[in-house]
Amino acid sequence: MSTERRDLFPGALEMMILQMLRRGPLHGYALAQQIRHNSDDLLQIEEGTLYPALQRLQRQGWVEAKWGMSAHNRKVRVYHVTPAGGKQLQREVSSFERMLAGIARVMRPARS
Amino acid sequence: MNRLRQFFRRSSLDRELDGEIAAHIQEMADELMESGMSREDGLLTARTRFGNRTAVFEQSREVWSFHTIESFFRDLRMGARALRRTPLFTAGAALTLALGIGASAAIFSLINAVLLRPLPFPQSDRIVMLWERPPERISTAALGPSRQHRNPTSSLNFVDWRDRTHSFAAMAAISRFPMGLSGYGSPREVESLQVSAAFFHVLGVPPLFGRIFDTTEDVPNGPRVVVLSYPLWQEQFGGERSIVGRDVLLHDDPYKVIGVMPEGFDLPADRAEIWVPIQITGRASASEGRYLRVLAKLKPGVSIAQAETDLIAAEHDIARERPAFNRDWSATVLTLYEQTTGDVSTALLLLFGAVMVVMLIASGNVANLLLMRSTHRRREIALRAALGASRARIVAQLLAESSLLSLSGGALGIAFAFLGLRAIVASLPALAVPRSEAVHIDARVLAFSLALSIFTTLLFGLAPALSFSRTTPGAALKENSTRATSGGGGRMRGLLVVSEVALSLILLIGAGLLSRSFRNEVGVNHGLRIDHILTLRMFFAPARYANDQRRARYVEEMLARVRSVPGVLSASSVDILPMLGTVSGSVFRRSDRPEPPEGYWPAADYVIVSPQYFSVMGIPLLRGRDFNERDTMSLEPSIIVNQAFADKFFPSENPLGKRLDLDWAIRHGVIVGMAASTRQTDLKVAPEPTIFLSQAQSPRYFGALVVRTALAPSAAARGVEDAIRTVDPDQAISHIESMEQVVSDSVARQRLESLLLAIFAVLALVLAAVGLYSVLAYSVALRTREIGVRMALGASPLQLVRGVVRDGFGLMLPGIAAGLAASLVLTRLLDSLLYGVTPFDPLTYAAVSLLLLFVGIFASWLPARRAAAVDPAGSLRAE
Repeated sequence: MSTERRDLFPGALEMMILQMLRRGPLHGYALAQQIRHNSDDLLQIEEGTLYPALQRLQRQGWVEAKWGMSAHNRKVRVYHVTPAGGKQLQREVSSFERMLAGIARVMRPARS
Repeated sequence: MNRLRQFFRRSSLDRELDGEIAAHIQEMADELMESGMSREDGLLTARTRFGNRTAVFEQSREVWSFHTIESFFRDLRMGARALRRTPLFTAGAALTLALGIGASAAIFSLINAVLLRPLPFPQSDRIVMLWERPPERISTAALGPSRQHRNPTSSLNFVDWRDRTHSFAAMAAISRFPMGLSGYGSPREVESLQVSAAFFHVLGVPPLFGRIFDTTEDVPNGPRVVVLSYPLWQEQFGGERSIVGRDVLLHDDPYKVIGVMPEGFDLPADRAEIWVPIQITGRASASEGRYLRVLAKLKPGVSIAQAETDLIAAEHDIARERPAFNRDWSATVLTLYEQTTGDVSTALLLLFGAVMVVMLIASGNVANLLLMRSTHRRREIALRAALGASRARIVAQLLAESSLLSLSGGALGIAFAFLGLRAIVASLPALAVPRSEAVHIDARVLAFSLALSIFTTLLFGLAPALSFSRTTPGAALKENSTRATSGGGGRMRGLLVVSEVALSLILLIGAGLLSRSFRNEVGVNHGLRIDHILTLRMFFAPARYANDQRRARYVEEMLARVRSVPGVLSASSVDILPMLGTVSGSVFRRSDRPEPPEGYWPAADYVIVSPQYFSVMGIPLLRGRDFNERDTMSLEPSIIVNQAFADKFFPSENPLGKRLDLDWAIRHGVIVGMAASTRQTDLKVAPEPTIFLSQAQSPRYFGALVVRTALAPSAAARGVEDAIRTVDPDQAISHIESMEQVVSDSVARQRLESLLLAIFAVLALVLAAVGLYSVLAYSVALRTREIGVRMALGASPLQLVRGVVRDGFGLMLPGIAAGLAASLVLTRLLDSLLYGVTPFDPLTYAAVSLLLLFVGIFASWLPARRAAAVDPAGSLRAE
């Protein structure tokens, strides 16, 4: 794990949140744990940065929140993806893949 | 919608978010404790992993972006608090702005009503007036003071214009013809226009009810019909609709009322209460006398230039066919808008320029005050910057403060404008400025004032705000305020004062020139003795006195009765009073010389008077005799000429006994007297060669009685009116006023213009002096310590006073130099308004510069005195 901090590209965090939430509703802390776990601890994000991103997603109408209970029996807000959020995720994934393919093509000659 | 709802749920959203963040940290801590950490370590690690909780909270709520609105309101609240803390500064700045905005709003209201409002007719941009242009060789005061070469046309020419041009959709002739209305209430004279049937089509306005007359009625000896104006219908006929179809008496003749025009229907320069058919249709009903004004509507797609070319071509044909009356005459086309506003637009725009200058100076002063205040607030602002306020936030906060200032100044200014406008409109005689009756503060004026307030906010608020926000927090916080010398913005303050001095000098010079010009005009030797003269204008009802003999006798009888009224010294009549801006003119020739070729007869003013006219008006008779009772129709007409006439047409000859052929109702006469030259049309127009004829031998159907009284003219008015009524109880009289009033009204507009400009200039002077004073006073206050040191080292109070006054000169002299240079260029714009003084009048320039210098020295002396009074020991101890 590198100590060097790299910023995610704009929208990356939102895309990952949508991806996590598509598998099932989660509250904020659980969401942070999932992202950390799924990235094998490669992505070191300050967990607080989730909240502005969640507010943005709510404002766009891609995510909604309800009150629920955590594993430790604490009152928390549980987020789930709306249908519009699902479509947005598809759009973002395909443009992300195009971007990855583009970057890969640019990087290839440097390797040879 | 959703976001709006969120806005009002703001505080509950904040609570939810806060709770959610707390839960997140707790969850994490719980889990860490489950994996074996102590409670404290768990919480600490959880908080570290979470990051800056406040920042997260702020960023999350900013997502909903009410941020800007909220901070705007917060800025306003803070600004209001800051302004309340310094009431003197706030009152001074707001009052300064209110004066500037008030003056601007008042003048803008005038411009709005007179220049910006479109004329109240459909397609008014296609409505034009057609005039004849006399050849240059004809010099008569009838051309008017500004020599605009707009001459009425003859009915014969009007008929030819109408039939021979192709550019006009409709063309109407207009003639003013005051009529006595009787049979309803007390007899009164009504403003009336004789117009062609096309008049209403040109203006495109249908009647409120009833109908307008048509071409079958607008024929010679056609039916007597009349269309009423809305105000007359209301006042005289009580708004009764049944008046349509009934007869009213105009000059004793029954006229059938056929319609009423809607409210506000009026020609701005040709007000009327009734309209009757002019009944000129073809050549048979037409003649050569030029008295008609012509209104027309352009065909769609025809330009003014095309129409004028068309009209001039027709005029040239006419000149070829009838050279005696039309040789070398041309024609011109003006839009009705230009016709209405042409004379006043220069003056109004000039005044607008003046108030904008006042506004600039006011803004400069407020900017200055803000800059000074800023020095005191540097620490406050530095502190805010150190605590993380961005530059934009600081500028926004300072601008919010400025907007509060200028908006309250604007609101106060509107109140000033309201009062000022009432005074302006009240001081204008009704017709001096066309359309001024509609001057009021409307939405457009309010919008203008608001825009001006916002603009001034940026003007005076932005510079200090920007210079402020550049302050480096560290330096400002370390700075000891008592030791500050000139502080930031000292140079900008100096520059502001120099500009203020320059601007106020320009205004002062303009005002000085205009007031000198006005004094020249009023003080001009017009050759009349205007005190103790009562004037009464009337129309000698033609139906009852249709016959020339009877009309002549009627006027004589009236004068005889008036002369026997106690307190009346002498009385006479004149067809058109002097100083009304107009006079009749025609051509003549010396009977003892060979006849000039057709169209080359010389021109002169024609004035028709009764006996005693010259003595009533105080005009010396230089030779010969006055008209008297022996000048009757049965004898050869007598002529009196003025000195200018004799000098021009009888140089080195005695004109008495010489005969003239006239182009007038009478065709010839003999010169029996010569009077001194006097001004006739207005004060600016030099005396023109004039032919006086006697009312008894060449009676006109309208005129004014002029009565010289022993006491105040108003005291005799009642008795004179009664005397007239004993001759004819139905005689309508209009405009009963003193000759002094007539002369004063003739320059009412110039008086108001020069007065307003003087007020604005004095305002500018005071504001600039205050600006100079405050800059010097401030620098003295900042340098108290330095002054104390110098006094302790032996500087005398006089030296200190001199030092401060020298600083004042350092600001004034460049300002005066710049102002003089700018004036030399700018006053040229005044040229058309000046009378008897050049735009470069050295006396005005010198006097005004001296005045400014004295005021400036006074403004510097006040702070200088304070510097001299500094207590050295005290100032050094104060830290």
